[in-house]
Amino acid sequence: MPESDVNSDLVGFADIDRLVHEPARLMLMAVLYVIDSADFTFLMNQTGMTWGNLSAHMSKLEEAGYLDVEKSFKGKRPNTMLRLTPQGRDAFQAYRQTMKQVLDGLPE
Amino acid sequence: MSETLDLKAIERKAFRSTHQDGLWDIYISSVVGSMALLMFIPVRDDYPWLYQVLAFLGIGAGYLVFWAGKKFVTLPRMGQVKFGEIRRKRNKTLALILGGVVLIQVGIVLLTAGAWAIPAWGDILQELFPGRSATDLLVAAVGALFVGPSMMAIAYFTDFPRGYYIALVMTLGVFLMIWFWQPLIQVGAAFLILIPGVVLFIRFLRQYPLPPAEARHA
Repeated sequence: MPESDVNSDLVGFADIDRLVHEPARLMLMAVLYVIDSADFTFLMNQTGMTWGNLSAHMSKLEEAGYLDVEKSFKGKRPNTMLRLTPQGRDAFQAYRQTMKQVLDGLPE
Repeated sequence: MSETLDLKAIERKAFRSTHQDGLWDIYISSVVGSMALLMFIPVRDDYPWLYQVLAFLGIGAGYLVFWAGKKFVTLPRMGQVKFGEIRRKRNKTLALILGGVVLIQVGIVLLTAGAWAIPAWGDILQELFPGRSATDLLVAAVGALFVGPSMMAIAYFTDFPRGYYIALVMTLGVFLMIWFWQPLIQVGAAFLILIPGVVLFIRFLRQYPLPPAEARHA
């Protein structure tokens, strides 16, 4: 298809960050965006996700540099806290703006 | 868009979820109940230390339940969370307000001590509030005014809606306890705060089972 035939109003959709756009990751990022940090259990309770599901999405966000995983020990027990990196915060903010711009432009 | 991604609502819900265990209510009820014991100190000269010890043991026991409950029951089920800068600022503001309230209380205590030590002050107060009932009314009003607004400030700054109910019960409890000189009223107020706390705690245990070990030890 020639490039000139592409509807320019739809180009905005191509800019959406697919990593953030996935609903489960979007939920996770929304929760992490409004807090400082949290552990797996808190995030499972907030999002209703299973441990396996949460763990998989966390890995993807961590690989992308959106998530910082802080491992430590509380007594003898391992303690993992998760927080969005500045890059992750920017990505989430950019995603919100893009979605708002794109969707607000659509007719009712 | 705003309906599906209201970040303020998400943050508020996450924050309020940390109060769902009812442990604050249980702890506050122990403080309110212990106030009834403290009230007897000035009027019972026999073994006044016993009342003090019992009152502080009551508060201590309440705090122990709160601490152990948070550490061994709530945290493993609810998980850990640290909130952002806005919450930290609110906590600092609350600390400043409560610090101010404590300073005013100290001022009132010093004024009272002054009234005892300096007869002229005592005479002025006696003229302003003649008769025992008027003095009791003043003391009851001052006591209630310290307790109620302080608890309301805690409720507002910690986003703890049940705190307004607790503030109302505490205010009435303190006022009526002093006005009628009847500590049982305060014990009743403590129960009115304790019961919702216990109900919430039981509901919390049902709603939040222990997560799988891999999540707790991740």
